[in-house]
Amino acid sequence: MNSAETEFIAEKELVSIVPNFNYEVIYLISGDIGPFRAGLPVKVPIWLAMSLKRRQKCRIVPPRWMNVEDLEEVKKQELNERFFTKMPSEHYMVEAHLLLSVAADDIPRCEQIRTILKDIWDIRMSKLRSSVDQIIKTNAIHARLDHLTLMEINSIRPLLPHALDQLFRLQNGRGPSQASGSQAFTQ
Amino acid sequence: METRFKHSYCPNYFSLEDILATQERVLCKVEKSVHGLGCLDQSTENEDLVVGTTLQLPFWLAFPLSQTRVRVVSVELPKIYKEAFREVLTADASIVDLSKLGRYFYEFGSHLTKLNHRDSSAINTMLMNAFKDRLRVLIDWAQNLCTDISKVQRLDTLEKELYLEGFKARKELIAWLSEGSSKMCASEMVVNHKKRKRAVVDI
Amino acid sequence: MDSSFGLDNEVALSDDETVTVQQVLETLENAWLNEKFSPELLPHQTDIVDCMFEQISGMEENLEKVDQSDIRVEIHRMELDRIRYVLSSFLRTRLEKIEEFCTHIIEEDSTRDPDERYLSPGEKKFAEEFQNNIEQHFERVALRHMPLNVQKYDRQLMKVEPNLKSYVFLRARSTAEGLMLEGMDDTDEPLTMVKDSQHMALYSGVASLVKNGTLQLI
Repeated sequence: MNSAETEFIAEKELVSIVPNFNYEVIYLISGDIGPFRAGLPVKVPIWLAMSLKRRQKCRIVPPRWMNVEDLEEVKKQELNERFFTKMPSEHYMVEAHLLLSVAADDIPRCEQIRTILKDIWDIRMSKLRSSVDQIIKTNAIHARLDHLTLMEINSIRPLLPHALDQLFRLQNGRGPSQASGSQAFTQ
Repeated sequence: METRFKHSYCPNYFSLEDILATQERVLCKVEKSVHGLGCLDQSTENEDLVVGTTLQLPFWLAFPLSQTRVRVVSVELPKIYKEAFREVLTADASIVDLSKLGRYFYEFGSHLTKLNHRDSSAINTMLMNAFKDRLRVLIDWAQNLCTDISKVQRLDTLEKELYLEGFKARKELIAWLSEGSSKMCASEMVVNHKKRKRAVVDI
Repeated sequence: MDSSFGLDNEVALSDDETVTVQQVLETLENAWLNEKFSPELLPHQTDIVDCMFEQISGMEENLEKVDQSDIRVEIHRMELDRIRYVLSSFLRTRLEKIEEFCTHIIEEDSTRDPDERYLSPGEKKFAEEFQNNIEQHFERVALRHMPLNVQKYDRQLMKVEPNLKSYVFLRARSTAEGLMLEGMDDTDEPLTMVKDSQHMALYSGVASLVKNGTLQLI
């Protein structure tokens, strides 16, 4: 999976918008949205919010956690805890990335938000690096990865799982010889 | 976006890496004469392969000949898997230039452990520890987008593949972090096609 | 025309099971991710796929009939594009596995009851044709020029199998208890994966729980 596909998945998350048009309920396959009343907030998937925003048909209401104060708090916690803390959204990085890219004018202090998010991401990446080190060092056959977001998991894919596959193969003496295929052992 | 189904390297019948890894040569000593196979030993005009001859054979040939009920050949461990060298790798595997030792250091090594040589389990342990030690360095290189050829060249084939995968994924992630992927990239084919056209115009 | 575009929100997947279209889409998306990350081919989802294709073409027909400046048209089209992406990525991933592990998959499927097969009827046809083509190709290009004793294409010898000892990431959709993973021994406590927890583990130890929906690959 690459970043674009992770983004694709995160785009299903709902976000509030304030439309500047009126329309009745729209029956999408993924669920009903609307009715749209000009000036009244309504929840829609991010992919739709982005498209409406680009066509100047709405203003985006930033998610509750997407403000400097809350994010500073998240950052403080992340620094204090040894393990990964639960993020305010499962796709915090992608959501922020998408919304800040089209709706910077709707989100107060967006530059500061970007900076804090980058800090949080970096802190978590450095925790992830030591976890990866630990997993390799102890030859873990199982690891718990609670609170890691999909984009973060993606950041160690495919390298970590593929490296562990090879380690498993070496460790179990299951070198190529026992695999059914190898030509050297078919005579 | 991509749809390609990806999995890590695992040898199979058609795997070129595996064919090449088992192509590596080992020094063999003939234990039982074989009628008509003198041609394998280029240093002699003998029609038969006689007891006591030493010769280099590719592993895929040496292995079955060493596993027959009455052994036809005995295989000597290549130097780089012997004790003296294992100690070097145990001391600090991360600085060793594996590519100089053989392009398929791990794969060939794990094939060798099937010889039931008394060193087999020591070789296995050494391979695993060396791989683990070097893996952490390799991951660092990939995550930091290290492009220092002189470093990368020290990797064996298995490691190089992992490094390249990691490098590519990292580069893609960093590109996304810095600008986002909402703009879909033209596939490599299209880009190359444009380049080619351009080249023609330039001439 | 009525605003729901005349599509029923509920569909019957089998005689005694009615689900919403939304649930069908969710099932498809989960199946897509499972297929993407599992090293082996998973059971086919023909009911889900067919149902989604019907929804898409029904919706497209209706969209044709509407004033194209209606804001709904573009919104629906965007959603259809997203669903079509998931569908085609899902089916393509399966085809890639079928091509790579062709003989192995056909063989495994032939031991299963007709209702339990992993290949859909269409995929089965594709797999068999692909296998024939490959074998004929080998015969024409190489094997017939070989010495007599190595002219045969030996399926057993040459088949490629998926490596089930592959590490995967997963999330528990419901709690799974008493798990013994590859490499654990009698002295290890069996593992519990609590609902919503996330893990990395060898696929071979969790494959059955992925197939029955307890665990979701991510």
